[in-house]
Amino acid sequence: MMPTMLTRSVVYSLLMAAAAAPALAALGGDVTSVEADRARMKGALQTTYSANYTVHEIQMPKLVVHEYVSLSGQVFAVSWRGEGVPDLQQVLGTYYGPFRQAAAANGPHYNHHQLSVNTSDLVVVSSGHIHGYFGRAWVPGLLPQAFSLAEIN
Amino acid sequence: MRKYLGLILIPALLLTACGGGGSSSSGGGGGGGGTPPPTQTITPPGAPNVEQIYVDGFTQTLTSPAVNTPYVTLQVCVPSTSTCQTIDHIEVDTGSVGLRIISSALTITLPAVTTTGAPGGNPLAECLQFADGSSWGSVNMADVTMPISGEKAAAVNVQVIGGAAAGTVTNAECQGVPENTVQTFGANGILGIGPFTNDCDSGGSCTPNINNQAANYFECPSPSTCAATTATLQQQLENVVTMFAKDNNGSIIELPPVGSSGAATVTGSLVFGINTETDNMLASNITELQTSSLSGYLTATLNGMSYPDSYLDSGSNGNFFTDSLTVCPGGPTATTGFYCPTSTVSEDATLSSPVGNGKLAANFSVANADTLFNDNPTFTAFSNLAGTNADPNSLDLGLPFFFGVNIYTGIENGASQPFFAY
Repeated sequence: MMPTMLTRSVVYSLLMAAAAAPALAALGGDVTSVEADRARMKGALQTTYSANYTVHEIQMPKLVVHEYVSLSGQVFAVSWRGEGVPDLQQVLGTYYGPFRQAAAANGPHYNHHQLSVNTSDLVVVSSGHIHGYFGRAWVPGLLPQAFSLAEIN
Repeated sequence: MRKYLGLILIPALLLTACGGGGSSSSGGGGGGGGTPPPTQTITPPGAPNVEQIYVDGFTQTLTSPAVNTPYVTLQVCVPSTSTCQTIDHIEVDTGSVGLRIISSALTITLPAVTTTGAPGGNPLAECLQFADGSSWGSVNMADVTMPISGEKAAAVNVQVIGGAAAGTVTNAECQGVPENTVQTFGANGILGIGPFTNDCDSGGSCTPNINNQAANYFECPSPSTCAATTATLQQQLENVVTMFAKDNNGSIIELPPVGSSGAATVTGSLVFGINTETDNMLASNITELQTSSLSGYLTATLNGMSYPDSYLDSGSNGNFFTDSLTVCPGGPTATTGFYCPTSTVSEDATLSSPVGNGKLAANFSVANADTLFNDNPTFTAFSNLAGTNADPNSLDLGLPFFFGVNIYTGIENGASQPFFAY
């Protein structure tokens, strides 16, 4: 069920048990999966509405994940910041296979602290050192009009 | 731009010196504000606390060279025995903590670390996330000796990556591009000497947070039944430096400068301890920058923009930051992610502490990566290699920045913050 339109952020605090990370909506997937995921979450969800897109912020114990959803209801970008890296197979969804293929095609890059996968259909970048990680991924063809990549943060 | 006049003569002077005191030409950087780095002296390897480090691409084993990767050779032994193995090409990384060895590079069998601390307990395993993938391995114990300096650490927890003894977990529990072989990892192992005392929780037990935190431990009653578990302080991977008898509060990486075309190979020194020997003093011309307590961040300023999630990282093979510089042409090439400006650009950055005083100049050059690699395809060290950073808030000063400047990494210690200094 889609949420009613709200003009300001809405915070839903749920149970705080440690256990498994909440299931996440996948890149390129449908926004309704965010609603299904939220029911299983053991963290906090905060939704912020902008003119061209919506940001679903999922707050887990040591990691924050953002999912950027277009007005047509499609996840066009994701990002993460915190002490680890989220499950990329889950977060990238159908783009996980292409991500792995592109990373392998780049050949060995031998840097444990930076990764850059850049194709016309998918960009995945990841960086970080002990206790501090950041990464983001987007589908160039799904970005909204007049959108700056700086907004994926 | 730093000047390197006369530096080639330095090693001859240092062979008879006790470290420090050697004179050299001015080496400070200019511009950008902040104290420039002092003149550089490199202490030659030897007892009691100086190990040799080398940058050579590990070309005898890797199918393509690991550019700008510093390595050390160390010895591991079955604890309290003389069953030992000397292993070369262990990557030296100030961006991680813990000693990890690729299983295929290890010829001796190290005892497992178990849940009860006794042979009857269940073996422990670990999944360690890096930014570019993950390493899965068993947790074992070894006595570690640095062969040239003689520094010793007993009963160190070591992650042995990729062996059958590690058991298995689902992809969801240890996700990411696997880096469990020498070829995918780029080294026979890694010695993480970052500014923290262990790889998960310095203050106590490591509670599992799968896909939330980078280090997670598992208990494996059998190889196919590994399950996430809380690791005690005694079971987590320690910072090996903290386990030396004396020089155990930090380290210094001392690498000579590298010219604008690069170098075939580079050798330098890894000095253990800060303010513990005559060769590792924090002299008055060294500026200490305390990092944030949790994530080891410094604040960088570059071109009028602030980068609050910055750090010094010997495990990064370039200087990485978000900028409008031209990225190397797309497609699968060795230069993916690096910058390819039409002509070399000078970057004048400043580093400061988010929690303390001090300000340092951090100047570096960005050359065209394609030109560097094409002009000298056998070179393994470049001081002007730079690239994009996934995090627009971060300047990751990697090994290029270490060439020509002695970089101190100070390990957190109770009330003392982690710090970098030069």
